[in-house]
Amino acid sequence: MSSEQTLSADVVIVGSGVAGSSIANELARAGISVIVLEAGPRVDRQHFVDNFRNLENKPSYQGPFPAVPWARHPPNQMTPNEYLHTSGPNAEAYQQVYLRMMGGTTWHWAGCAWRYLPSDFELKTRYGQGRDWALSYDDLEPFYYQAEVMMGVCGPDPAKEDLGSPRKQPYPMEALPISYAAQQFRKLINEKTPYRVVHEPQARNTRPYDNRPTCEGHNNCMPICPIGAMYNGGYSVYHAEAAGAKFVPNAVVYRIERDSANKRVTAVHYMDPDKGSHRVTGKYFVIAAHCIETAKLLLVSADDQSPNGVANSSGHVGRNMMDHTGVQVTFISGDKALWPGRGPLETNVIDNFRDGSWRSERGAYLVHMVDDNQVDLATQLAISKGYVGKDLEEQIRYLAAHTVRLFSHNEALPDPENRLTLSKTNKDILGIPHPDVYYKLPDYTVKSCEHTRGVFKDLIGLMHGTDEQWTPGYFPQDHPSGSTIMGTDPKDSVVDGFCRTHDHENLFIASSSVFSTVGTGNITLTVAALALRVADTLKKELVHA
Amino acid sequence: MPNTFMSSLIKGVYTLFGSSALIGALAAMPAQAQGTAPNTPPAAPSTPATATPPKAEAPTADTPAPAPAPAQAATTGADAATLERGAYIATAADCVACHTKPGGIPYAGGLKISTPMGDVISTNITPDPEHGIGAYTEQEFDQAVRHGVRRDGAYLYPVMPYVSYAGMTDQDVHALYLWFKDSVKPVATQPKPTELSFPANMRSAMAAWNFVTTKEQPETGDSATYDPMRRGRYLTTALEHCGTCHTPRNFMLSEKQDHFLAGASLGAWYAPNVTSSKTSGIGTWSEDDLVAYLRTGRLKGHAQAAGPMGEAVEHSTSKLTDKDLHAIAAYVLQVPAMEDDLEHKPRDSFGAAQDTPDLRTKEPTRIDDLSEMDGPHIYDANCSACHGHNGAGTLDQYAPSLFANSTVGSMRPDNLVMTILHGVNRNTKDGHAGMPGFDSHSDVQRLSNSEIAKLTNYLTATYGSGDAHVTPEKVEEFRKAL
Repeated sequence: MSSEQTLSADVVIVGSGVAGSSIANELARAGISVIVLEAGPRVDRQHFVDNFRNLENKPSYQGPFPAVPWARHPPNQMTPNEYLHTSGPNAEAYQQVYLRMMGGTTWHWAGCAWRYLPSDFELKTRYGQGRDWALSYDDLEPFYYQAEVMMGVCGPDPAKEDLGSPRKQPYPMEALPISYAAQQFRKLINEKTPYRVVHEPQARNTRPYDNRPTCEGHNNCMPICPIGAMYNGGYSVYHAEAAGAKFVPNAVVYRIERDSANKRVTAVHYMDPDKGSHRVTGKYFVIAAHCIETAKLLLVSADDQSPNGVANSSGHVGRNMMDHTGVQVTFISGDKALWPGRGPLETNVIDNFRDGSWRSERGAYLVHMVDDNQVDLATQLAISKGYVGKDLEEQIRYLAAHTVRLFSHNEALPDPENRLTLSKTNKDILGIPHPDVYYKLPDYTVKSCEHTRGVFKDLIGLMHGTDEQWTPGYFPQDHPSGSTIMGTDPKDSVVDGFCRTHDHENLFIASSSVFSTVGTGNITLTVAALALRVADTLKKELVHA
Repeated sequence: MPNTFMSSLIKGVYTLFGSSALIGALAAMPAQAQGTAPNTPPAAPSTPATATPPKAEAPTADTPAPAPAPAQAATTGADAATLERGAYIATAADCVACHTKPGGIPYAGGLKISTPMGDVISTNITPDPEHGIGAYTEQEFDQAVRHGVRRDGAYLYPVMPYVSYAGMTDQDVHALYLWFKDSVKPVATQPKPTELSFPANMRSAMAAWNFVTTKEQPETGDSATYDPMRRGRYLTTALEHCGTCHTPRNFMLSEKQDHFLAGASLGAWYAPNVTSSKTSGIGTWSEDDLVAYLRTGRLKGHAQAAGPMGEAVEHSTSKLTDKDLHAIAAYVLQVPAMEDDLEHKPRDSFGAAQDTPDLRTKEPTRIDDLSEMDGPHIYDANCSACHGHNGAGTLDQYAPSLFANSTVGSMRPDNLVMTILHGVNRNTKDGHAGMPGFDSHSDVQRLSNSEIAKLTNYLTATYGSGDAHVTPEKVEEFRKAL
């Protein structure tokens, strides 16, 4: 592999998802030169919409995004596959999906934009479990807000609905109107249970914002918002480019080069799809390549200087893999029709299980009443019950209107045994090993899931539900985290509180891979806030240098 | 996002001033002027919110310009009724449209207006004595508004529609003057000076043009007491200066008074024929129809305002009284019918709901396959989510039907192409109308010239008056025009 060409910038960023692109945008706007290396291709919305419409299996939200061979991503959630190979007692619970392309996985997220609770950063101190982060909620608060402004997050008035994460400013946009189904669910829960249903903060426009339209409720957030009302990292790529950042697609980074002292990164090397190698030099480097791919890259970069991989003197790169493993059930409500599927997919959450003294025993969780269209499931159910003709049509109508889907996000804990390693057998067309993950659910999470099942059963009873369909086992929630864990001690962590690697002073990591614990909300807003804090650190160091 | 399109509007009008006819006629413009058209883009788009450090009270990508601040100390001693009249005249004359830059303080100027001779920067007309019009006497103010002569005696560029404002009554100019002096907050900022290559020469050339062009004759008396038809004429011709865009111009680039409102190109957007012609104009509309359009910017099943007309609705007509809107409508609907050379059937009368053909395959394409799709696929992937698989729009017509739609039905695809490129962003008290643009800055989808040509041709063939045969080169011209 020859180095045909050398690129150079103040800051070289690997990955163009929400983390990498938002850092690029911030830095470029400050006049700092930036190169973003994206393993996958440049993409656009219209082809994804076309792909989605061509897809027979609509619930397959990875379906409209067939990967390129030089930057593969897993084909579908909960599907054994030879790219992200999982093993261990709960292998199925780590069959995550993500996207390797311009803008990253936020092309098919559902826009849930939770701030973590202050307690999420101090799980060890408060509850004796897991680890503390090397930063506090207060450290991150200004960056949470910056991330909310960048993405365009809507949420409830904190005076009326306190979500537990103190805010200095209101949400940039008013909360989403709660859908019809969610309104009825909310009324039931608020009146008949000790729990409450809150507006979910969402990176989704409730008014025209950032030259993108207001959400029209296509109910299509996953896999693809057809109108651009929901944030994705692609916008930040566009904005970074407009501010002067250089975006290089199809650039698969495979090596991180350091100086002779192994203290500073001097360059990264990438391969193009034809295996041509390119060296990119810079003053600072940020790996923002998703939890799984980031750990993979650090491990792939092992050499004589760092035989266990770059930034891995602790041996913790690839360890502590976490997720919000979930429980999922659908059932047919015996009460009034809910008509789910009108509005965005996720507008409401039961948030009573996010924090409490019980966190010393079992993990926290969120409950989503997912508001997706249920005609598919209703049809399968009606056919399986033997209905035909006009009765079938009526049954489909009835069932689609009465189906309720609940799922939970249950908190994992960092366990060094839950580990990502490089495949010894499988390599991609560039010769880069695939990632393997061993996964065993922590007891903490198992207990949390058991609690969730109990709550779900109560709710099914409350709604006089029938035809329960529980997703077997444990449900991956595509929130992988922990693979380059944050901590104050370089001996048992990979990055410090500023996401700087302990080993290399000019190498930062911007990803959920730095999470010390997985927290009690969807991960993206925290990824973005941490990334913007990295940008802030880099700006200070580069401008003052 | 005020004023985005106003610069294009005026650029369109002033493209005409680059013509050899005018240059020859005036014989005062240096020859270089013809070749010095700096292809300067119009007013910069507002800065995206992305990555803007949080600081604004209500962060947004396009913070609307704040409303005019209430009066400080009244300086003129004017009575409330006069000030109220002055404020209304300012709205009806849409002064804010040009004298405010995007995101700027109203009336503080700074909007860049591209002309073939260079950029004209609108001036600060707040009552700041140094940077605005605070030192103007009423007579000097009148000289500028109705005669196009600046306080220092220089001729204004006719970017300022004084040719129309010439029709204003003394009383209304008086009220307008007092309102600006009394109720507009002074802003002590100086917009960048206009930098034309030969300003002195141009300004004197304008003296010659002023001599030959047709101006409105000043109305007299109390305009509030006019009968509806006279009031409608006053509002239409003098204040709203509808003819500035909708009336074609003669070789001297004066509005052709015998073709009043017969339609004219603004260079990119097209200001259509709005005479009473039942074939080429809007003669099939009722008075209520036109009132609804001017109040909200849309007439369901017929037409929507975008571009410069969207701004005129947002800043001006949506804020007029119902009585005045009826007066304008009644007047406009009796304007003599003018037949169009292209359009012989009402623009809003074409098409019907029609399903897209079956486009489905069962194989998604790889994420790096960005190969260009055909017209129906481009429609399906970019438009149908809102406008429907059959072009019927949403039930409430927030996203309008594409059939029975004057923009799609027009024989001139100009406004359809411009709408696809730049979208719609119109705020009135009746709500917001929005469509994302698909130009090279779009975050939603960036369509190529070829894709926009295919889409336009598909739309006009399917829902309009026939395949417009727009070429990618033509789309490029539209793209560059703004």
